[in-house]
Amino acid sequence: MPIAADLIRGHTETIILAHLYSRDSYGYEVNKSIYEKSGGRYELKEATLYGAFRRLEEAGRIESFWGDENTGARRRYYRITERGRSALRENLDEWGDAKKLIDILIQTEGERL
Amino acid sequence: MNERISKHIDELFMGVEHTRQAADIKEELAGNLQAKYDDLLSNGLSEEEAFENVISGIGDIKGLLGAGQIREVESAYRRRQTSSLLKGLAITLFVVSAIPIIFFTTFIPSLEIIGVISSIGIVAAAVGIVVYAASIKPEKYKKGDDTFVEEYKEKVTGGDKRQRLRGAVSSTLWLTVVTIYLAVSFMTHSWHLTWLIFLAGALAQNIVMYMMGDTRRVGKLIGSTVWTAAIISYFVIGFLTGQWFWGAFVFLVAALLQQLVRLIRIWNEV
Repeated sequence: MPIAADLIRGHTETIILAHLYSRDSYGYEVNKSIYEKSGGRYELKEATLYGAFRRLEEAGRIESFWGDENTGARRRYYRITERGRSALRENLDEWGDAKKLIDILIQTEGERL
Repeated sequence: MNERISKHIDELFMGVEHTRQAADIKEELAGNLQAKYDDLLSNGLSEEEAFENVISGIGDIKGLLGAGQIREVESAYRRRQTSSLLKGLAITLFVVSAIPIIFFTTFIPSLEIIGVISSIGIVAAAVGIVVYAASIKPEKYKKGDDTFVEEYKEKVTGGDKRQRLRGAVSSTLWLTVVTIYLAVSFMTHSWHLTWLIFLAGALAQNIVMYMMGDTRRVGKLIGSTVWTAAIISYFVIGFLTGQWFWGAFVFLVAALLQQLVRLIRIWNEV
């Protein structure tokens, strides 16, 4: 479903903010949750994820810190900031409006398709 | 760390310039790939399957730190360094600006006016350098995916506005400081003390910028506070006791304090 894939890529930042709203997390954990919630159908590329993380961090909506793993490479964790929470609220409102708008625009008249 | 994965990552990052940003991305990638690999193994995949899965999920990391972006980061870094260097030079000039007036007033009172003009000239030069340093400091520039073009344009103009506001506030603040300096100096003739107003100005600027959301300046704020307090203490001790060499200890304490604060902050982050 190319539409869904595009939408997910287009809303990566909101998806990340929503995930971090509930708990601090790191890249793979966020991606895994997308994978599981989509019933195993969608997964973001690492590069896409990191691009989004960086933009969010530069906008001051999330902040990062290095984890303290006992074995292997360190994980980069992210937590949402106050600015991030308000951006999330705004994005959710906008998405709600967009959904309604698209539904209106793609309404067919006459016989129900 | 799985050997095949870490080797693959090393290969990916071959030829990439060694910037802090690249190193961070590399380490973050390693951490996430390792976590994913372990997860897949525990879900029953074979080592080969898990490896293929993990590797194919990386995407265009090179694009994230493509040569162009690295160069941009490097030149931005250099410009930031130059900007800081110039600001340091400007502050030195502010301090030195008192010398002509003191010199002429003490030794050649008849030519006092030359001292005044020279001091003002040095202050003017220093202000000019501060303004120039601020102008070459690179703006935050974000590059999005192709699908993010519209969102990105929006963000750039948003960030741009915020930054322009900060720049305007900063310029206003410095003009105010210079005006206060000249006014107080001409009224009290204490040119050997009034240059301290510029230190207060630097402190005020960092406070204002921090309040306007520029959280990067916290470290600088602490630094400014420590050094302003040190310089004021130095002069107070010097004038009160006449023992100017005690001043050296004040600066040593200030340097120690600043490093301590830095250590505490890094400790908290770790």
